Parts: sequence; structure tokens; C-alpha cells
Amino acid sequence: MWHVDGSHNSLITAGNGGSNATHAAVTLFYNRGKSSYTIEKQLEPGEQIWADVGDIIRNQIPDKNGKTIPREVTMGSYELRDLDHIGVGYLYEGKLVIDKTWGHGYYGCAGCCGYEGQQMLPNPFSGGVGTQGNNTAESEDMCSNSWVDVTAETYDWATTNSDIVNLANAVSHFMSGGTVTGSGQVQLQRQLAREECPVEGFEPQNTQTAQVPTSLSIVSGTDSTSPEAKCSAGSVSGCGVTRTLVYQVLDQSGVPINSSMSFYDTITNVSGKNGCNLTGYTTTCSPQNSGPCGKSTGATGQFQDSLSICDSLCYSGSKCTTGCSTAATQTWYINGSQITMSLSYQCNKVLVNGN
Amino acid sequence: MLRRLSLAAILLLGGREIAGSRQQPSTARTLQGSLASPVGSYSVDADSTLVALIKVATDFKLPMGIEWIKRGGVVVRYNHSWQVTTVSTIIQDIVASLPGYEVDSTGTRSVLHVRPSAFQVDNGDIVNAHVGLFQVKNELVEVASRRLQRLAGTIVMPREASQSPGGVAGSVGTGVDDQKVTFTIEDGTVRDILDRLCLAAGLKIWIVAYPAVATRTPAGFLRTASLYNDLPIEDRWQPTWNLLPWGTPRDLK
Repeated sequence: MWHVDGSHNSLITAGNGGSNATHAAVTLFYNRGKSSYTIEKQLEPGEQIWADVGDIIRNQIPDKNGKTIPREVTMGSYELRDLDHIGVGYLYEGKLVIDKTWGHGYYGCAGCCGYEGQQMLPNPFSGGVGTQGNNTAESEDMCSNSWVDVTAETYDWATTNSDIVNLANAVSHFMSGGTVTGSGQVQLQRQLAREECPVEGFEPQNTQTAQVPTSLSIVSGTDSTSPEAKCSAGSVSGCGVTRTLVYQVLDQSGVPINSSMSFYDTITNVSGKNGCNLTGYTTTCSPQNSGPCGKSTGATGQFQDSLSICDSLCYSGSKCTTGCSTAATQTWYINGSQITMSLSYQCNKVLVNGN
Repeated sequence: MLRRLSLAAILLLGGREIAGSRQQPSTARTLQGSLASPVGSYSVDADSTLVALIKVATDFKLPMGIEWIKRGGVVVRYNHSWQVTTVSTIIQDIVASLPGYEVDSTGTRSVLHVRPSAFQVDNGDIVNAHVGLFQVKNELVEVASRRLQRLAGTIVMPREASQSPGGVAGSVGTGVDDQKVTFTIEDGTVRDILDRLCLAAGLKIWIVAYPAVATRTPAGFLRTASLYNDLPIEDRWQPTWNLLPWGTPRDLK
């Protein structure tokens, strides 16, 4: 605590006990901790920063944000922070409160604030094979009860299988399908005030999955089929329908892959099941059954599909009919993985895997 | 040879768009405004001049139509920097690096066209061909584009209406940038319709590629080529083209 009034003053100091320069911050809290006043200074090794709290209040000296402490404030708490060294600080501190009434002073020290608990984010962390993403290591600062980013202090990044996810310098490279545990090492001052916050090793971890495109699901509410109607396609005229939908690419566990992936498809007839006498298929890339052609899913792993048929066998007696059916096999190539679907083209509908 | 056109005044009106489905009137002004925009500093370092054009279209949000003769596997990077210039000058400088190309002066007012100048008067350029009435009713742009390809295919390779019973089907995947659109163009060229398609949704660049060595179909049309491989395209699949969103293109060959 600090104390300033007609008969008291407080001096707070922090020194750089390290071998390199560092930025120190002294923050004075008042108004039951709701208000604060901060001084910052770069300290060379051995240099000190001083806060004469009485002088600050009496002369209304502004802090780094231009803020002053109201004259009626008489007491509060304080915090010292090494801004450049999150895990293990260089600072040492001292405090002197002077009681002018009785002509004596007393010394005090702040209790140390350490860290407790660790986490690596995101957790779980998933990415499509061939992609990469950043991890963040955090530990809870028991002074502020907030999670602090300690990624820069973390080292020895690794996973339990680097063939699946190769983790280096906080970046996960998703190599092949599977799930691993990712981790890093960081030295932090643990929150043990009675032992002056000893430096200990922490090991934040997360679960990481390299996702392989394995199946497609139809996004709810996106699936619609036009009524069967007259149509023409080049030299062909007849009747048919168009079904439009949005696919979500799923991984080996049925979990959506939230990344942009290249895609294209091929379609081939099932032998002996071409009742509609289909003579060709329009596929994602032109000409038919070629690819890739620059098409990619959105960042959430979704893409649109338009399945259509236009057939003279669906047109008879000046009316659209439901006279034929053709079975075909479709293969989607998504980021190098193949997903096979069965298609059934009929005059009034197109079925995918029987639906 | 490049013509130093005033890009703010380029491009004539194309096919007639039926009332109720016309493009936003502000689009042409937007393009002209974009071309005249001052640019303090800009640089391009691209795998090819085509990629450089796509980058400029992307960076300055320009709808663009490009007719491109492939280089036959020859890689010619494009690298250039500008200081205190305009978007128009940047495009003109890039096109100037392509002998025989020009900023096209036909078509709609809203899409910037780049093409070999010889194609302007070539009746064998499918992009110049008129396709009569073209209606799009609540169709994805990519799907409408593929239907236009089939229609253009009957011009490139005239064939009689199919006598044998049967039909065609398909599954066209398209990105989430694509949208369903509705419009009608009467007596438009393929270029007019491609322009309309690229203004309609998120696919802002159309590209028709031609092989390095030009060949023609029996009907006298220039054969087109794939942007993504060097395999020849059979006449029954001619012509072909691609609609791209603004952004970094993938898989280009």
C-alpha cells in the first residue's frame, strides 16, 4: 500500500537487476482499484525508476496517458511490471512510507505476482492437410487474473508425431491425416508468494488434428430442385431439372474443414445403366472431366454445386415426362483427396448417394 | 501495337439488355472513375503478364475481360513499379509490354477488355459472335456460363439438332463467390454476355485463352485452349473460357 496525506508520503522504486535494458512500469491504483496512474521508463542495467507519490499528487504531474491523481486521494495500492520480460522479470523494488507525525518511516515490499496454469490455443486446433496455422501459448497472470500471451517466451515446440503435424516456432504445419498433442516449454515465475515466485517450467498443450477431405455433407437449407420444365442445351432440347446445393467438406472424423481447398470433379456412366442415353456431362472444369481449374472452396470449406439434366427422353407428346433414369459415378478431387458419390439422373430429380 | 486510348472513354454499347434486367447504371461511371484514380506508388511482380493483369484488376476492383494467346510454355515474368500515376497508365503500360495487344474498344462500357488487336476484326473470334437471345433465370453465373459455352459450341461446330433421343447432364461446382442471377440479352455477342455475367456476381474476370499456335475449326473459328493445361481441346468441347473471382489465381499454366 502507499499512503499520502498531510503527515505521510510514500516513495516507490524499481531497479533493473538484469544485464540488459528493460522497460519498467509503476502503476498506482486508487479509488478502490478502479482508477490507475502509470509511469513507464526504459531502465539500463542498475538504473532505477522512482515514484514520489506525494509529489505526483501535490503537483498534479500527469502520467504517460496525461492523467493525474485527484488531490483528495490519500491511499492506494501499486504494481511494478517488467514490460519486456513477461515470464521472468529483471526488476527489484523498494518502498518507503514516511510518517511525519512521529518522525519515522517504514519499509515494505509488494508480494510477488506469478503465473499459474497454462494453455495452448486454439484447443482443439484443426487444419486441412497442406495448410498451416499459428498457436498461442498463454499463462494466467495471478496479479491481474488475466491470461497473458507467453508465445514469444515459449521454446521446444513439438507434437507427438511430426509426420502428422510438424510444429515449429508456434506454427503448425498439417502434414497428413491424424490427431496429435502439441506442446511447448516456457519458464515462468510460479505464483508461490511465500517462496518469492520461483522460476519453474510450464508446458502448455493442445490437441491438433490434420484434416483430410473424406466426405461431403449438404449444408442445411441450401438444397433445392427446380420443377421439371422444358430446356435446351446446345443441340439438345427436352425436359429436365436443376438441383442446387452447398456442400461442406468434412474430415476423417466428420468434422468440417474450415479452410480454402481446391476442387473439381469427374463423372462417368455406370455400365448398362444409361436409360436416359446421356451423351456427355458438364463438370466443374471445362472440357469435361478435366482439372484442376482454379476452383476453390470458401474459407469455411464450402462450395456450391449445380446438378442438372436436360433430355429429350423426358419430353413426350408436348409434355414433360418422367420416363428415364441414368446412374453415374462422380469423383470429387478436393485438395488431392478423392471422394466418390453415386448420382442418379432422372427427368424430375437428381439424387446424390440415393438422396 | 498498343493504342493509347483514353480509357475513360473506351467501349461501346453491346447487345441490347431487356428492360427489367439491366445492369446498374453506375457501373460504367465506377469503372471510369477507377481508371482515372491517382496512384501514389504501385508495383507488380507476377509470374506472367496475364497474372499481372489479374492482380491489377483485383487490386483496383476492375471487372476485366481478357483474350489471351498462350506463350507455349515460355515463362515471361512481369515486374514493374510506378510512382505518382493512374490506374489507366498502369494498365496501358502492362498491355504495352504485350506486342500486338490493345485495350479493346468494343463491347459494354463497364468491363475493361484486353485482347490481341488482330482479333478485333476477326470473324473467327468466338467472342465476337452473336448468339441471339440469351436468357438467364435464377441461375448460378458459372452454370449460365457453361450453358453459353454449349450455345457457342453450336456456332463453332455447327451441328443439326440431335436426332437420336437422349440428353446431357452435369454437376458444376462453383465457389461461394458465385450467385444466382436473372437477366436477358437480345442479339448480344458472346463478349456482351460474358461481360454481363462478370458484372452479375463475384466472378469479376473472364478469360478466353488461345493456343500459342492458332488453329481453326472447320467453320473457321479460332480454337480456344485451357488456362490450366496444355492439352488440346477437342472441337466438340470448343469453345472454352473461365470466369475468375478477384484474387490470386490458382493452377494457371
